[in-house]
Amino acid sequence: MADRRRINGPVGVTSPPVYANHTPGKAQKDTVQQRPDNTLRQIFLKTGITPSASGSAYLEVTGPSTNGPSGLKLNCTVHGPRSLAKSTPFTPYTTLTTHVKYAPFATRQRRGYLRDSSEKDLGVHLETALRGVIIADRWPKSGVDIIVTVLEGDQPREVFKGTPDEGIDAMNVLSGCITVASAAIADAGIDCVDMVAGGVAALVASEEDKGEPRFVLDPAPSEHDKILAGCCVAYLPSRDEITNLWYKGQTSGNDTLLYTQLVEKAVQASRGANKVLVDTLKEGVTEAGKQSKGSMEVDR
Amino acid sequence: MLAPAKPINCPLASCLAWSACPTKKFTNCSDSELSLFRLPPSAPVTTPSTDTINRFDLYLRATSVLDSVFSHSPARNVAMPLDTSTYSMALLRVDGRRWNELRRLHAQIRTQSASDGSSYLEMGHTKVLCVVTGPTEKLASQRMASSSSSSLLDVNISIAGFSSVDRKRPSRTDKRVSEMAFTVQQSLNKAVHAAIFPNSTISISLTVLSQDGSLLASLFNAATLALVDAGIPMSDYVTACTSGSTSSYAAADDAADPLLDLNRQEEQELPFLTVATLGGSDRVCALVCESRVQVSRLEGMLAVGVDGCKQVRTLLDRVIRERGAKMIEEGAIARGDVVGAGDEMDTEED
Amino acid sequence: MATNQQQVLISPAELAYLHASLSLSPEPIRPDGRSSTQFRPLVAETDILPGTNGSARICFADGSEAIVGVKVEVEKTKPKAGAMINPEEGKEEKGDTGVEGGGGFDDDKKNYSNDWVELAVDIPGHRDDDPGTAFLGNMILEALLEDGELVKRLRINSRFHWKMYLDVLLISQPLSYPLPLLSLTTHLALLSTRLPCLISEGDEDPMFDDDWAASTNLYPPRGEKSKLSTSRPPITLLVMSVGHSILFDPTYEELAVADAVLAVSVSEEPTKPVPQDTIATPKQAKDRALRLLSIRSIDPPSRITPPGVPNGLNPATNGEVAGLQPKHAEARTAEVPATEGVWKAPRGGVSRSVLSAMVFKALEKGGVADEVLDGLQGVEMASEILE
Repeated sequence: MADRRRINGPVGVTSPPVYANHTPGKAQKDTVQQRPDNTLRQIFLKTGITPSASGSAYLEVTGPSTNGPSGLKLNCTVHGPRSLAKSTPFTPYTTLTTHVKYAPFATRQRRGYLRDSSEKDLGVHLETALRGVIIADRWPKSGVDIIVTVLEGDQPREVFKGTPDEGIDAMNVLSGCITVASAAIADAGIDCVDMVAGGVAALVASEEDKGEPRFVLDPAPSEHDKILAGCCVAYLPSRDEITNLWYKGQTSGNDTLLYTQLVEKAVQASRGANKVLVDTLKEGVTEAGKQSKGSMEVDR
Repeated sequence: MLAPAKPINCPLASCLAWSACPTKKFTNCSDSELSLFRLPPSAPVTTPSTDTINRFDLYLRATSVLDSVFSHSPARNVAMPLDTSTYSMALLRVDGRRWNELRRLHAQIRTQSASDGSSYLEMGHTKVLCVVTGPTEKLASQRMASSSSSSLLDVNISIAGFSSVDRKRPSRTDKRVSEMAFTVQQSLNKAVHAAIFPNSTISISLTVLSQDGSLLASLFNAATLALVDAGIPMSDYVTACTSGSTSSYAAADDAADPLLDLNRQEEQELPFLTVATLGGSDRVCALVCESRVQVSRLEGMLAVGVDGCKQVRTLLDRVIRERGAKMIEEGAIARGDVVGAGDEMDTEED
Repeated sequence: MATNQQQVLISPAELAYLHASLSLSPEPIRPDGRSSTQFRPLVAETDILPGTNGSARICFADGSEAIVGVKVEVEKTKPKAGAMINPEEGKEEKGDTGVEGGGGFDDDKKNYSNDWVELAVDIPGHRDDDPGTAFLGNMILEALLEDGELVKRLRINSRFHWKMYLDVLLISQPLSYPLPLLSLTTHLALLSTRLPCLISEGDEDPMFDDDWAASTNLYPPRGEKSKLSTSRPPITLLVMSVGHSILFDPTYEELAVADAVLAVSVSEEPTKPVPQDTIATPKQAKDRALRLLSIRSIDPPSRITPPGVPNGLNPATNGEVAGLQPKHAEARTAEVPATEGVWKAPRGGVSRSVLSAMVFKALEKGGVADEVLDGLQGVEMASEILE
């Protein structure tokens, strides 16, 4: 559907200029993985940044290199629980609606103002992840709206030869959405069974296709040539349960160990994110009113 | 025909799409397609773009009943010699039919067990599926919306992206489609005994699988069959067909003859109208003409169309009766059960 | 989930009964008497629409029906980002450098792109921009693209490819979650898809044989000489868990009490391309290797089912039925404890071990995926015989 309500920019993309001395191919790939495979990128999380919403949170994940700005930046607001419109039929539960929207400038390809199918897809994933967590029967006849805006979508700015398919950055975004929404829900004071956090792990082909493929936690798309499989989970640590599982990849059906390991690694990543989440919320409680920065490095 | 492939935006694109099009299955292929296929590669094989259909000076819609004025019209008696044995080969149409012949009409009812009524209809290569659900209670939201125009029927048309030669992205906001849905809804509303179902709704969802002319007429016929299958009381079948004229408006040919049941190629070149009548009577319940045509020709076209509707009614009636007989045979319904259903469909011509 | 926006119209008592009978071990009792891994019977036909490149229709026994039509068009391949752009082409291709590097997982030289396949799902009563519909479409498409075989087959030469449009229509009202139906229909439609025979060579503008009888199958039937590998399109299975039972192809009633629902996409492991002079032997189920392509969890509608009220808390029975003492008068507002035989919507997620068990059961040798693939192969062979 064409968006007729706003003045839209020209269709297509404008790429930043590529200079001639850039030799194509391998040399272009200047982002090399610097952290060990089993660590997460640095996470910054802060709650209560939108005063007008019931609850809100902001999450940032650093980019692979310090000078490159291509990380993940998410903003989440929670509105509700509030009463539903009179015309809606009775529900014994909270009606949860989730919106995930990329800002027009969040990805290489400019996004329109209307949600496209991939954004709606992420919204459904997020809803699945959160619906099991919220104790919905405590607010009958009411609705909660969760709105996540993706300010930066974890895509490398430059496209080079071996860029993996876009699947893994969508998984990173989803995992961030789950964590940031969880923080915002806690900030809004909505009852939950546990603090849910997202985690991503990937099976990555090693450099030059030599040696065994290896598992990487929180994979940055620009750091790897070839991603064989990816997995994103929404994990509840104290209950040891998964509310949402998204797995993509080409693995042999006989080799079920690979799948199990990948889920295991994603859960590990989720535990890391959960630590940041809990610390941020604790900080928010102890220093009520004064909001402090909850940035910390997680190493596992 | 060997069409060189070019990027899809070149002038030859339509030819290219044609060469990639799989209608060239000679088995089970109508003559209309064969003749289309014989076009030289340079001839533009176009598909009607919905945007370019003009509303010409004549735009006639009669959802009200035009009573039987045409029974006295001279056109019916004068139009053509009915003795077709002497009809010369030169007057055959592109698909080999004579002027007053329908295409093959194949229909089935009860094609789907989950719905209350369903049908599948083919008029030539136009293929339509219809599913009827209801009568059901109106939802609160529907009650609010339709308080002003309390309509029993709710018609939904979806045209499959693969139904025409070039793939077209289906769009829900297509004005042409919603206009067709409105026409079908308004005309069927007249035939259904709506007073029996207060505060309820019957949803008719039509899916177009393949298009080769006479689309609106097929929608009418499929919807009628599915309503009969669902056991909705109606005063009679609503049957429809198209009729056209043998030469275009620009030719200004007063001697142009009427044609019955146009296929896609004929629809693109000739003026035509879609007419729907209530059963065997001459009562017209929908008339849609969107092309420019001389008024003098209209009467003949209409008479032929109304006559075609009667033929369609006979065919549809046969489908219903055969299916009913089969169901009695299979023991799905007892013979005594067919009180209302049988009587309803019996009309004076039997 | 496309169908769970609407309320579940099953009473708490029925839900409690369903839950109890479905979580029986070792073998659950399903309302329609199927075993836990059994599929509902279905009627399938392929090649139903001569106006498409490939089409299929499947009717489930419960009356749900789907039609899939495939259309292809020739399209010019956009140069891959970072590749050398010809000076004369550079003008018109400007701005295309941002094209997704999709499909890069296989053969970088060959410029495949996931944009070559477009899929649209149409569900009656749902708008096409409904999130549930988008989710369904993405799930089917994800499996097709992750497989990677489909995109490879659409390549004509280095400058042109086939652009494939898949239109998935659900004809009936969505009774149960329509994912397996739509996925199986898509599988069959792709198997019946034929492409015009290419008669030009190399990188020149493609020319096609206009004889439809000479057209080639996108997925060549088994036992035919082909330079492509003998892969088949993927299928997506719906698996649910209740208690310790794992059920396949759940109905609407069964989904209403599910603890977790997973969509598991699998395909056959493609064999190596067969040399032109030898003929590929049809694969037996025994030596079929399966590939796991994608898994998604689906929000079970059980979370929005109405809860039952235990007698102990019911004001109508005054909390004194069958010798039950009213425990806490204030408990009505607090948490209702889990009571045997009283339905309560599940909370939280499911453990990893249950999820793994669901996936493994789908992938099992001689298990459900094998059985379904065999069944579909039967449809495929039947249509060949008819030809």
